[in-house]
Amino acid sequence: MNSQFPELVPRLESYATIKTWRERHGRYRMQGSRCKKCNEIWFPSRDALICPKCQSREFIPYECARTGEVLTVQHEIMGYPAMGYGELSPRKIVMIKLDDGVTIISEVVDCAAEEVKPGTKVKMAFRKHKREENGCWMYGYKFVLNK
Amino acid sequence: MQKPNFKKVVLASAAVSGPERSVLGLGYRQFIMKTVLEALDKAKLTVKDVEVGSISYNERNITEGALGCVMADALGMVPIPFVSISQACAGGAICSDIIWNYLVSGRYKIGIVLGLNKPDNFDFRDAMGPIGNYCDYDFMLGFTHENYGHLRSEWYKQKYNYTDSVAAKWAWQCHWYARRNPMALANSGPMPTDEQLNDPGPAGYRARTATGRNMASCLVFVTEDVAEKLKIEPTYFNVSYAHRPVYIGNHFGYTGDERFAPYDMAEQPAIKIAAEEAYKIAGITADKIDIAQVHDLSSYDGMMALEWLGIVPPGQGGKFTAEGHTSIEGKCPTNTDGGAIAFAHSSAGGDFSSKIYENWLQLTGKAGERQVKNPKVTVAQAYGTHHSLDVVGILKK
Repeated sequence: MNSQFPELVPRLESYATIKTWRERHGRYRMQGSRCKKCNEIWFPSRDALICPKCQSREFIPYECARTGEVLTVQHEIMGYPAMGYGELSPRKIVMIKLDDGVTIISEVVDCAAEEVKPGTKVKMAFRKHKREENGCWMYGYKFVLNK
Repeated sequence: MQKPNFKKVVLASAAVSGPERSVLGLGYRQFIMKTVLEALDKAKLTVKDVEVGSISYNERNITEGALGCVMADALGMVPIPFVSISQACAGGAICSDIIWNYLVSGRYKIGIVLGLNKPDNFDFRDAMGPIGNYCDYDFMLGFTHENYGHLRSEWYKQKYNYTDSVAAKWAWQCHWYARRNPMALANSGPMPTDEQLNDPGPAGYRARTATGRNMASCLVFVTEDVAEKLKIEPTYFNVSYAHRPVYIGNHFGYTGDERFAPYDMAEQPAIKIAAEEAYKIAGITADKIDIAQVHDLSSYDGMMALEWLGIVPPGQGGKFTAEGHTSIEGKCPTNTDGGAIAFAHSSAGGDFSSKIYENWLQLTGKAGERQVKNPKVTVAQAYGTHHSLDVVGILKK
């Protein structure tokens, strides 16, 4: 900690900065893959992997729908927060069915706990995730209410 | 169903470490010795009799690699083959599957499966906590294994219209067994009250959910002819495992395999796939199961496991629990070792092997006050990394 980074920076088990850079498209824009052969959508991206449905290896980038509906919510009551996320506790962690059918896990922010329940409409927002090993903030998708 | 004609593999003996959350004075190599020697001694074998070994461990708390080499050396077993597996918490089943195949093939006759969990070897909160299934994004979001488990529980409750009262009932039953198991962490003291178990806050959540412990385990497998020579009462072992997509969002309507497509996070088709193969090899059906040990990091995980092992229909696990059928007098006594609440989440060290150990005690009449009457067929189920790995082992007379 110092005047530039006043809060605790968890450093244990940090990933290399290069990894967070490699994965920026998925984290920034929820970019997955669409199989060029069978047209199936995959999130997270399967770029350079194999399509489980048709075994093709040809994909094009696919940006998931940015709106959806909460399937289920966990109001975090485990008794302790994940290391480095204490100031966000208690978090509202959710499974979301996006409007294009993709299901993801994320967090709903900027609202009261009682506003988040199954069926709540949400939209993607760009928020801080955690510190990189070099101390910089890493950003990515979270969700807010879609009123 | 045609039973495949494999040679039979016998569990000759088993041992697990004592009920300690932490063993600060011993390194992991020293910690596992007593358990290995105890298991071998029970089978009237020595380290020099062992022909092949495997060890399941969790690389998040034992960060040294090459554990197979390390254990072969530590046990004075070099040059025998020794395989190390760090593949999620149910890795003991994969080790068992490897040894099973060695014995069935006829290549070896005596093999051991070790399990090792030593969270006091590394920073538990950081190493075990904030690493989710899919590290590319979920780790950055700070999601932990507990978040996954809790979300799955909430979805199960929502889907089948249950309340936490069924989890409280499951937890109470586990405590009942634990009070009768000297190897369980919660083997003494008063039983928790309904008020404690139904508390909607963090205290209630913790009362209904797995704790953690250090664990060393050892299973000794032999071929049938060796068991006969050793005059061991045979308990026959079979095992199978299956995988599910790693990203938890893909537990909803996964289209990569038709066996997963109709299901969601409250349903566990990989358990079914593993169970069907294990039952086929063992020549049993689900209705023959007398005792089940299932992986209940949350109580609802235990209920889901009973459903997808075929013991109860999907969605009926909560009802089955509430009606008391997991008790010692119930239709299927379940988690008679106290489950993860009392026997703990021991990760790769024992999440599978400790269940086989308990079933072995039950089948050989050594389960003391929690002994089920005359069991013949038992099942052990465990999962790793939130059903990315599902394992099923059968132990029967």
